[in-house]
Amino acid sequence: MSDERDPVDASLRRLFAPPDLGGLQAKIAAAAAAAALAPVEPQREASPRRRRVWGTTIAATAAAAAAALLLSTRVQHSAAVFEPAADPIVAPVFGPREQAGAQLARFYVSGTALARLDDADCLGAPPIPEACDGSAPEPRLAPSDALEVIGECGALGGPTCDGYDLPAARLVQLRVRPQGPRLLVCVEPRDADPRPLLPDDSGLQLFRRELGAFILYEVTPLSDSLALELFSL
Amino acid sequence: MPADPNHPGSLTPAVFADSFRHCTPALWCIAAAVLGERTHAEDVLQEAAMTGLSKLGAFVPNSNFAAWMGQIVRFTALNHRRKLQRRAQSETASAAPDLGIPAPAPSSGADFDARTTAALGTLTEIARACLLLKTVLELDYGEIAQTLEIPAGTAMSHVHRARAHMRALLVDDVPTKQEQHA
Repeated sequence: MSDERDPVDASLRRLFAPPDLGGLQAKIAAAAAAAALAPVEPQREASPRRRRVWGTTIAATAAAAAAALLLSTRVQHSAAVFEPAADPIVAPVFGPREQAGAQLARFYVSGTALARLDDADCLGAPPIPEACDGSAPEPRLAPSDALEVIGECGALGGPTCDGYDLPAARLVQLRVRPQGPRLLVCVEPRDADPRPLLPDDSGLQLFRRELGAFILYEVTPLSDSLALELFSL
Repeated sequence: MPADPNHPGSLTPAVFADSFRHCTPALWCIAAAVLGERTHAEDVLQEAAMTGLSKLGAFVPNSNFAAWMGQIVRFTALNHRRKLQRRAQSETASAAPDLGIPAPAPSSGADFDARTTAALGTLTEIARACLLLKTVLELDYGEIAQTLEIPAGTAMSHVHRARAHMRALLVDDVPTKQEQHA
């Protein structure tokens, strides 16, 4: 039990006391009732193509019947659930893991070029960059003759990944030297592990490594991981 | 994931609605925690509920509904927050969060609340969620752990560290830059 006299706790309670959610509960109950009248969706038994037709299958599911009940209110947000390709990261057919994997695969296929960082030189002369400070340890990539960093977002001191549809706070783009395929490595705190599942038809492989308080995933068209072992704390 | 709708522990729409009703406050807190504010939390929760309702077959029978739904809420809120951030970035170049919390003066409630919101933004999403579930809903650590699918010890650690961090920012002293990133 927290102390009522604690100004921080008291402030949090003022700011984040849940509102009356009875209206929302009633809407969801109505949507569920409508969904119960619709045929049960055979999502998980669908053909491999289902991952490419997520948008169109949505309309056929029970949720579509429920949608009409909700679209009359809060159109702005709930409508997004039923928009297929415009912003597939909210496509509801998949679970969060599949969404995360789809985001990574889309990012890889898109060939989006991240900005190349002026790499924080952690071995250089002071002042030590923040990213190298022991108070904020981050997985660091060791120099390699086999791989070159071609872009990065989300590293301390660098641009954020907020402008991209990614399931990770940090992403490193690499290329196998000299003109080999591109690789992606995303880094997340262990407690925010997105556990992505790549789409079956992506043609990409996913490798995972735990490193301290972080989880690293490598997305690669190759059959082996090349980058993960190069990271250290 | 198995998706046998006839499994006794599987989710029917009715069970979904009932389970959702029981854990709505916790799910709302998760949405607010990930967003870092309350304005859009209900909309996010509604969107997440529709997502969950549309894929009942993905629910593992007899598993924890709050954890399953909590994860959907987290991802929905993350998507929403990223959209808002992208929109803000495109509208103004000065939308970066101000991590410089003003000097402590916890006298005015509204002023202090504004600083609390800013300080909350310096925590990780998972720490915010743990802190709000503990402080606002007064869940025990086991319940927080189940809802967020993390060990109870981790939930406890998040709460203690988040509280200490918030107090350092808001009450004890003006933070250093390194403390803000701790």
